[in-house]
Amino acid sequence: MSLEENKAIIRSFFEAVNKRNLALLDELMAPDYVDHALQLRGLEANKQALTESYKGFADWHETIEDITAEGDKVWVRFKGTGTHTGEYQESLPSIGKTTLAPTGKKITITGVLVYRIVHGKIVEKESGVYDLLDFYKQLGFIEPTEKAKKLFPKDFK
Amino acid sequence: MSLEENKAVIRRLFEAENNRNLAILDELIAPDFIEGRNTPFELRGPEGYKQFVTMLFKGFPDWHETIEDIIAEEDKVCVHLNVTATHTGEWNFLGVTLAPTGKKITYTAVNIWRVVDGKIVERKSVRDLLVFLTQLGLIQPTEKGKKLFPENVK
Repeated sequence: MSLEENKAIIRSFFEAVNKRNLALLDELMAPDYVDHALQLRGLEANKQALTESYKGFADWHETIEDITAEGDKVWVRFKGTGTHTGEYQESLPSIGKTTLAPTGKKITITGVLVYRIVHGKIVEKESGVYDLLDFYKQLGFIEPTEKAKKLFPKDFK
Repeated sequence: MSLEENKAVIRRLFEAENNRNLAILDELIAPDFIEGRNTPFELRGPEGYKQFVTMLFKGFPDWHETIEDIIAEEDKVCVHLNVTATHTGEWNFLGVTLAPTGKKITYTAVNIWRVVDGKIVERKSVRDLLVFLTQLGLIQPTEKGKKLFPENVK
């Protein structure tokens, strides 16, 4: 597979996620696909997590900001946005299985994800670095400390 | 420049920074280097970059970055890195001085560098700020947050 073919597979994957076309994921991904960053094993578990995202964030949308490929790897810098309008079954490793009642908040997640592609199928998300600051803040999990408010008064009016 | 040459430029940068050999940054960073254009975090040119890392190393004298993974394509080099540091000095950041907390910092980030004719012209980063800012004592879990992820409460 060429680098351009691998990048095209990843672009199709993001498009399928945005169009809610889970059937297309069966073509693009290996059945034993593993997401190491979110600790989800198997394609079914990953599709289930996506379904939960759509329930919690009906307008969940992911944009590829940058895509770089070498060998069998494709690195994607992405931005995900959505409004928390539904009940969301969270499965982030740091939070564990929890159901979050809708907050109505608009959230943004950015990150860089490393995918591995073998013989035209996405076999794993090898790693992912996520900036979840806005996500946690909007959902009400974190707040600035007194120290932060004193140091950055303009930011916390 | 080949992909391997571009990766070598970035490896040299990490080595120079870890060894506090900032003179090398003048060779490696292009005069028109930019990061975070039009944001409060904007860094321009070798001087801007060196100034930032100088202040960083004052705040964290043992700041060390390890390259966990690196790929390159065209003029880009992507690096997944881990940072370890101890906040034992004053850190001047965005015009605010953060007094030493003594806290150990460990966080992960990805840098996407652009290298043209052997010089670094741009960097974009995604950082695990949740971990970093918690470790510095700038953010904390809310009551709701504590209930949801009790293991993370440090």
